Amino acid sequence: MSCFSRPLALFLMAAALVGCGTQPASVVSQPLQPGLQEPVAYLVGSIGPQSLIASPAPNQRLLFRKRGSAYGAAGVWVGAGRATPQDVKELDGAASVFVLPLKPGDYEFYDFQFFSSNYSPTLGTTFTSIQAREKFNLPLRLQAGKAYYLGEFRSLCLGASLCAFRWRDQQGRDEPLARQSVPGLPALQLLLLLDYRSAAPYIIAPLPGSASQNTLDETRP
Amino acid sequence: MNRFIALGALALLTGCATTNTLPERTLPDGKAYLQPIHVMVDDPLNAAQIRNQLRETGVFRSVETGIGKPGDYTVLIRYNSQRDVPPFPVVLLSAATLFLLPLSISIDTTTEFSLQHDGKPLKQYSYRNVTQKYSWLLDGTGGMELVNVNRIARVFAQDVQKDGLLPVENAQ
Repeated sequence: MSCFSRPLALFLMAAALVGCGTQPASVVSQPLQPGLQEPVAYLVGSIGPQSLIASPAPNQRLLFRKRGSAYGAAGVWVGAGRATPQDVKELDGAASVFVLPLKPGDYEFYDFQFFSSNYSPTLGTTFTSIQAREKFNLPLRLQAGKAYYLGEFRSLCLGASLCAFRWRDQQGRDEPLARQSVPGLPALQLLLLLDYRSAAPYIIAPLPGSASQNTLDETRP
Repeated sequence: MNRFIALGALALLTGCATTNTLPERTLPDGKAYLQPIHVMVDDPLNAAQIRNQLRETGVFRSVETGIGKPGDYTVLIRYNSQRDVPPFPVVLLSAATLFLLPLSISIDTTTEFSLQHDGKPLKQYSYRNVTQKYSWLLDGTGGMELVNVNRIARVFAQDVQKDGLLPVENAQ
């Protein structure tokens, strides 16, 4: 009864050792996933560390929720183990492009998470999770048949617990990558109405109207 | 024998369900946000959590800390939460059975909300929610506090929405 075939055992061991490929950068909870024939709204963006040295958490995510409900969706970057596709690779940084297929309606971009685990011989494995203590609220109204581009969110950390995302518009780079993962994606429209300054310490964005998109400057005048 | 096991499983499963005295409210989707509120709580340890629960209702455009500028709407919250555990001998008995004997744990929260505009009180709201649960070895108390505060925040948000004292924010 307990005969466990040798090839199967070898296969399982090999699968466990290899770590089994990649995982998607887009996570949508079941109640928010549109059905086959139902209308869809897409939320597109990219997430990843600006520099792997300056932002060491191997699991980073942007969190969205359906307004007034407990259901959510996330854009994820994972750098170790079952990593997300590293769509953007730079000298010392990386990013994944996420495409969230959602039921149309009102959503909120409200939080982020940096998750990491560390091993030390004295303490064993410790898990660290950094999230906003006071959540912010960036409302998103998603209409059926449209695809919205949020922007690029690249993380930077000062020390172990002070982390933030730097926002930039990288639509030209991210749109073809998003189209590769979801063929037939409608043309992206940039969500510029979001007031990223209300999420000030956590999201660093250039002032609206200023042309300097590639400088990392303070958001306050 | 089978009947005993089924009965035992049923008792354990129903016994572990969390009960609340405040009903769950469903908030309408797609309505315009209400204007931002500045929320101050007299309990600094739980203040951030209460504000986050108010944010989660999706009723207010934003929930800020501090007292706000003149003209802003402020909500002052008096928050009192008591945790009730069974008498000490019962806890000892449960410990002696390696926590296989379920313990009744309840959180009794009374909250008073005072909605103010420019320092003038508009309306007082007061709610009480008792969250009760039987917990044992494989099922901690995790999440009970969140459920407890979440119910109160949702009822408050719905009542404020219904009363219309707080103006609606213009569409984005």
